[in-house]
Amino acid sequence: MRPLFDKRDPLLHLRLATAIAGAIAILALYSVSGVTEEPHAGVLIAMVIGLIGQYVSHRLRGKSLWVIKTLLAIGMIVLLWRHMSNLISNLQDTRYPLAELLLYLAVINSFDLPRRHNLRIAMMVSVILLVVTATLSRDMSFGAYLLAFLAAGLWWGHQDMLSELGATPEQAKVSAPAVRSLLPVGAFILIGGLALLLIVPRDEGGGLKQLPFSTMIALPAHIDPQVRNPAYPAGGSGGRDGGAQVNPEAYYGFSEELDLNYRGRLSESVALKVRSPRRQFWRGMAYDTFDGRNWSMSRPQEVEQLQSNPFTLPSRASDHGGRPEITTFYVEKPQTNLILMPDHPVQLYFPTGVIMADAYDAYRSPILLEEGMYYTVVSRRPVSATGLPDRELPPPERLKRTGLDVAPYLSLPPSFSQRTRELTHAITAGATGPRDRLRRIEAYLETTYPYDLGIPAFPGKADQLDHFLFEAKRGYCEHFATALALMAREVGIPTRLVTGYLPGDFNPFTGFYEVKTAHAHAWVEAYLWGRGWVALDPTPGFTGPGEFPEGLNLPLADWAKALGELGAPLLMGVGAIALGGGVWLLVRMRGRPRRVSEASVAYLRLQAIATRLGKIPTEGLTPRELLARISEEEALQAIAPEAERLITAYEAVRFGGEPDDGAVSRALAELEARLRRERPGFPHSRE
Amino acid sequence: MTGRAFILLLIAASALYAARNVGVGWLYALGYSLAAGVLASAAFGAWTVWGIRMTVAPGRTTEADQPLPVAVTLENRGSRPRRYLSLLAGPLGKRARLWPWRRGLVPAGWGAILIPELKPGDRLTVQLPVPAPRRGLHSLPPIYLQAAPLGLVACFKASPRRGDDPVMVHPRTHALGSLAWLERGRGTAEQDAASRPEDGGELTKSVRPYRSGDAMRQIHWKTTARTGQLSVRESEGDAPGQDLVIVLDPASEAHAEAFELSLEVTASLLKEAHARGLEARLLSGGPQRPGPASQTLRAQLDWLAMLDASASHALPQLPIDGKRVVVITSRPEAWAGRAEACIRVMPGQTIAEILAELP
Repeated sequence: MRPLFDKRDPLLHLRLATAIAGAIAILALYSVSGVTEEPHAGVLIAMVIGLIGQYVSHRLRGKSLWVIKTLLAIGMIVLLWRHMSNLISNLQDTRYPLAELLLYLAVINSFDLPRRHNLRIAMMVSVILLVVTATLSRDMSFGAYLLAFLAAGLWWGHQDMLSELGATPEQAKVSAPAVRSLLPVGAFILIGGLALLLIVPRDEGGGLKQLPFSTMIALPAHIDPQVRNPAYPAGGSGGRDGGAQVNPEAYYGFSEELDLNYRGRLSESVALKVRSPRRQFWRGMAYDTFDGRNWSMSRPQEVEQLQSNPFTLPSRASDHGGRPEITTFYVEKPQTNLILMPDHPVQLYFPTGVIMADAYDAYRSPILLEEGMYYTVVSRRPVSATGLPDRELPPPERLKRTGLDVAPYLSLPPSFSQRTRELTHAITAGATGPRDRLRRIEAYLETTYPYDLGIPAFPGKADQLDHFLFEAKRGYCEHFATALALMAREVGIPTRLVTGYLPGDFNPFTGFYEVKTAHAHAWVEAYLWGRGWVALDPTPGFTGPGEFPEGLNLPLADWAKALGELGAPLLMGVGAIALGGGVWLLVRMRGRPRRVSEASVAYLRLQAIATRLGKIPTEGLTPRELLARISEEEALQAIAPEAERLITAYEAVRFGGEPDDGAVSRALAELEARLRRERPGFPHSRE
Repeated sequence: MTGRAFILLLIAASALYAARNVGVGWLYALGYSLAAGVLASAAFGAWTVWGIRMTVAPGRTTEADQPLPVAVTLENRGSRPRRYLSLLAGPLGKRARLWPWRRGLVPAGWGAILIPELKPGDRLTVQLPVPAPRRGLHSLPPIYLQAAPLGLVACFKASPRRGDDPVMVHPRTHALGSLAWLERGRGTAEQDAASRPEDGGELTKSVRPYRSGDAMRQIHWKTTARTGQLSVRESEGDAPGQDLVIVLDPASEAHAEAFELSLEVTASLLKEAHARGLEARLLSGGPQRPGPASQTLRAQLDWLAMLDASASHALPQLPIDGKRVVVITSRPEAWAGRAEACIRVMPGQTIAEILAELP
């Protein structure tokens, strides 16, 4: 039967290494292909065809392949045409067309790899494909493929070096010395790469020319302007008496009303992945009216439709200045129709032709945000306000002339208690201006009341703020934000309560902020003259919106968490390598001859003696045949009795399964002793 | 650093630049890993070469296009095994130097040999084939010990120099097959032996002045002492067919390719003649270049190896009447009747065609 591989091919091992590396790169693409338009199966089929092509190149090397080359040329032209078509229809995100181009290029090229430089080109294509796949990856599973590819790349480089130096196929085989020589190199690469990743500071980027968003989605026939949260069909109001239980998979704060009596914990599942140059809050929506229990919007229907993608967002006074930043949001699980935004957005790239802007600088999508959607926001980094004078607001009439009606943002509920009022004035007594007053209230709340997610529901009839400040004296973000918002209003500062998400956990490997449902949060925006709406977070234990360190710092906590997450794919990769190594060892051990036993050594010695004394060839004789020859040869008849004893004992050990008790070696020793007595020149057995 | 390393660094730089823009951590990881790979190749390559002591045996002789095996001894003086070393040597006669930045691990035209492993304390002697494309007297080029893990960065060191270390590269010789005309006249040697005086002496036929190429044993000392001029005797025993004179017509030198071919044919003939026990003498050129001082095969081949093309077209003087003369020439018509065989060497001919025309 014809062997699978032609061992005469001097590049056989290099071809195998190229095929393995290419397959790993394609598998990595397959793992991220869920968000592409291409079906998953297409990538796997391409990989199989590529492997077949590599085999064809191996078998047909050295032959004139003009037919194949002609077909490949036609294939390249078709591929180019397809790539251009894909590019034009995916101008908002060219990574997927590029990945597809590289994939099919690798597959087509695999049929024409006769020489070493062809295999090198194929390997470089695999590396570039992996680079493009890295830009598409959004989780830690890419780490396993990266590790596997590095291992395959190590082997490929080794084989390439050997083939260039004219190594024989025996020298090119997988062997213990080869593995031993590559292990330290691999460890150096792993540790060195990780060290560089840890040490070298990352730039915040901003040179992005392409602002990705998912493929345009058709608009529904009727666009509902309301905030829609399928997890809370009642609109966020849990009921008048007692508490309401949260739906762990969604935040109740993204609704027409926000009930402060919701209790429960939100899920740790990832809701969004955000690529951003810095940590910031992700703003969802805002409320301006509090009735003692619920927050709501006084102007919920005041919604303006914006058209023309990319959308130019209405600018706020504070949006001027500051360098542009680009933030991309990837929706990991179904959300509401609120479009989450970074600070001070100015432009939005969204996969619909229409969006809606409400009266509170929040934006809504005409459709619910589904898993797999992604969009990009261009924003401006806020300019530092240090040095700006802390001035009181002008009279409301003057503010109205600027287009800002602060009345709703200064309203207090009828249930606003006297003791709350007194407390507020006591805290802010002596403050030099509105910023100072805010700072004092914020500091008081942060230092006086502990954060507690497990507090029981407040009594249904009580004023939630009063109960929080004087009865419960503990709470979570909505309580602290409510307290700051209302107490600030008491001292003449317009405020609104904002809901959204915390920055999330930064994964230094993927580069994403992983925002979980449990990262949902509420904070306050206060209007300051000359600065506009400024975000504040009085909740203790949380870094405020303007307090995040500059740049993409990588605190050790992020590294530890990310490495912990890398643990799973790392273990997978190490496990795969260990499994492969174990299989290889098993195969080698089965093929390796057993250690020659003492009995076999003694038999071979007898054979050598017979050859030397009788001058007869003994190669290939069975033990019984050897004994017969010894008995026949005149020169050997003298040793026939000892030879028979030796061979009988040897057969018992070798073929009879009997344990070797030294009988064979003793028989040999007796034979050699007699020969040395009778033939003085007879050599010792060690020679 | 090889071309592959440059490409990898380029891809790494591109990945890091893209990572800077898009903020993807995996791009950073990939870029840094590729850069670390190139760094690892350099670090481990340097470590592998370090601690290996290399000694090179003196060169010998070889023929053109036949690699010269040079014995190189490597000793691992480190405490760890060194793996996948290679020995490289540039071609003789060319200024061959290994540069840190090159396209591949083995430059074109160089000889290389792979050493898979050298355990601590091991001494290993290998025969490194040094290419010898050109004839002549050359200095043995430096032998390089190289290590290039992953084939990315080649770290190397050269063998210590010991003076010029000359190597002689003779013109290439070819198997000539059966040459009946070369054997003609050998049988007369027995007849001549029968006609020799019984005392073993030889009858002197005549005495003439010494000519370059004459054997020392033919010098007639009496005449030389009397006349003061070196003279040689021609004996009755010098029967036609026992001595062969090979003449390299200088006109063959007019065309460089034909000249080299004629040298190869001459060398092949000389080797064949000596192998058959014939006394073969070599003459060439004008009076300025009559031939080698000694007519041993080694001296003749050395002389051919050092022969330069000359513009002289003068016919060399035919030395000895009655001797068998074979001429390697591009103008056989000029030698009509004067030589037993004329081997024509023309520009554009291949060695196979020339050898096919041998009588």
